[in-house]
Amino acid sequence: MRLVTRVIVLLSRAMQHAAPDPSSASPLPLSGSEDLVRSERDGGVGVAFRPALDAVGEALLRHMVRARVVSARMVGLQRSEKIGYHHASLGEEAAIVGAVLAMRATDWIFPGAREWYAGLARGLPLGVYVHHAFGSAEDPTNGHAAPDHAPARALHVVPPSGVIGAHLPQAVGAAWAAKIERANVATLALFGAEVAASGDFHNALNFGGVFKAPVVFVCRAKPDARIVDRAVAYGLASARVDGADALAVFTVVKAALARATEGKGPTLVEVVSPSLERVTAGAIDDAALAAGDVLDLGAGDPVARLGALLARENRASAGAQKVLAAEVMAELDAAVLAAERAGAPAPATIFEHVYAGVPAHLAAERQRLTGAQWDGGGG
Amino acid sequence: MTVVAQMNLVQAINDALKLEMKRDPRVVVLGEDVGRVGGVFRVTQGLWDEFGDERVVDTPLSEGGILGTAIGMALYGLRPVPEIQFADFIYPGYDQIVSELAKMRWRSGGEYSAKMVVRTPVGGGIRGGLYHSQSPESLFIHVAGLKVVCPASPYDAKGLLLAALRDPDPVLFFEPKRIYRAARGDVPEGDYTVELGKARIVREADRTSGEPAVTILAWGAMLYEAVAAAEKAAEQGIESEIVDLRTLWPVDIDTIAASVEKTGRVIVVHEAPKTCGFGAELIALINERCFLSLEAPPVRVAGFDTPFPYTLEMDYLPLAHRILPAIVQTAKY
Repeated sequence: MRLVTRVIVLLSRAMQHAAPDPSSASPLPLSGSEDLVRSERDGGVGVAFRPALDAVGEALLRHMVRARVVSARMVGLQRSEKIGYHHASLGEEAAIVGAVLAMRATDWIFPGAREWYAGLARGLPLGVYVHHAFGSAEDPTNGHAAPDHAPARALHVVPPSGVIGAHLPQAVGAAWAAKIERANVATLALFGAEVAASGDFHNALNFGGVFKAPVVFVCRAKPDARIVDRAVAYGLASARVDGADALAVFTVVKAALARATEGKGPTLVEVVSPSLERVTAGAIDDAALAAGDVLDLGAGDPVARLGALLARENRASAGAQKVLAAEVMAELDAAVLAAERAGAPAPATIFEHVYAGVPAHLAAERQRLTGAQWDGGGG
Repeated sequence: MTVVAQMNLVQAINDALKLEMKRDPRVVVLGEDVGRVGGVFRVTQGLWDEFGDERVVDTPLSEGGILGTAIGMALYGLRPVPEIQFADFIYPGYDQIVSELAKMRWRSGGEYSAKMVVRTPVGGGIRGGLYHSQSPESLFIHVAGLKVVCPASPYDAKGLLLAALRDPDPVLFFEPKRIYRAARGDVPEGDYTVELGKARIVREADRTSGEPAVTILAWGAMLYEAVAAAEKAAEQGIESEIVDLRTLWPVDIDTIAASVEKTGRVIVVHEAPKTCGFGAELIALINERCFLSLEAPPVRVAGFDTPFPYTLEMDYLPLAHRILPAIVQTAKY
């Protein structure tokens, strides 16, 4: 708990009105490139701390391996044009999995499309995700939404929008609603640094700050982006975390969640994503995937780093990760087969869920569409 | 016996909000100066005193922020009622309405919906100039997933707003500001609803004389102009049947078609610019439904295809003096 407390102190220093307690204030800076929050266990430098590992490390690694293998497979399915596209998240696993696992099951997640794994991390079955990617008859959206935009309402995961950043003010609104309802619920908004250029980003941080909504903003960014500097303008706490270090992301988001639930308002967490050599070179192909060779994509790979750390502490082995990757591949094979077999949704489903009911004008259009098919003699 | 009070449009809308906030604790009003001030037109006056600042929220000046956060509230399960101070200012939040609010149910396969009623004053004739006078209804009717309502009478304003608040779909509730206080009428106390999607025949055409008659489609403030023009036309022996659409979308095409089949002539009146205005869609629907009943080309009396002028606003608006010649010409075609 002391470690978490220390991170909270770090976070609170970013708030202009927070008076640091001299006895516990961190001597470490919160601006400048050397301020990355890293875990000591991971051998990093910067604002280092020693996180508790217990079951978290293993859960993080399991999900990160799964996210890695699924994304690598989806990249292949996009290349072979079996699916429309995929928002690859190779190298972003620590940011996404670390943040989602730090939240409680009752908290709401507002992911962007590239944070599609949020639903899977919460328990969305892989088969449903793949049906959705194929837009099959068993896609929960009836093939309405493009790949990586799946809803998971039972798991409090809101479907990503195609409009980059539109979900940020919504995450604030949901958090604000929870506050009004006196519910102990916070929200997490996940996004990339490009969102920081949008009006929605400004609206979200401004409204979130004004109403002290219990929301955590987690922004994935390149090293030179420095989105975190915006927080001070809105009176928000902030932290900048090493995106290769899942334990650091997890711990910082947990601390931000604690602030949120204590009524202290939003925190902006910038996760500095690693640039992985093999991702940049486009060297992830189906052959590498088939060989199980996707768990180390170059220096700074968060999956490889967490794997090595847990291996050092005898909590996991490289062999176990390969086995897990192979299991995910087998699960994917079955899911892809099922999605291909399911075929497309019935044409009439276009008209479902436009409104709660089907108004007369849509019923007429539906009749025209389905009737025309019959007239065409099976065309 | 239902107690009835004389109210104007503002009072009727206020009454509906108050009633629903008492009935449904999920209803939250938010917007610029809707709290202590009671809104720029005082429509939310008294709500803040009665329900407090968690349910009647003064927000920062940002329509995108108001609508974006309101959608989040709605996803969570509240029933937000954002007020956009003037419909002219809704565009910074247009993306949240078009891309998010309207599509949430569809894109989530029915898992999520963002139920809310967006209230905003529309229309000109109040010396408001180009940024306080617009009528953007067709921009929302064109977006699948939204319902669009525009009341003309205090009775309908209260009943339609209560229906809109209880409807499962997002509703744009356009309030004709020119008649906010001018339109007065009997409003029952307590709970009642006016069904969405149902037009109202305001004036029936008498076809017994055999003289030509016209159907006039109107809504909001222009309904009263249509009525005034119809009274003048009646002095010349021309009968008019006036349909107040009340709900613009989904539109009550059955009532419209029945009237046009009866008269064979139709005029649409709206304040918005003529090109791609809702009149264009109405006439297309009429052509599809009752082409063979038509005895004259359908006519639009609308705003011009220009921005809304400050000084010459009464020349811009399709007032009775512009509707009357259209009635005469259509009747004599």
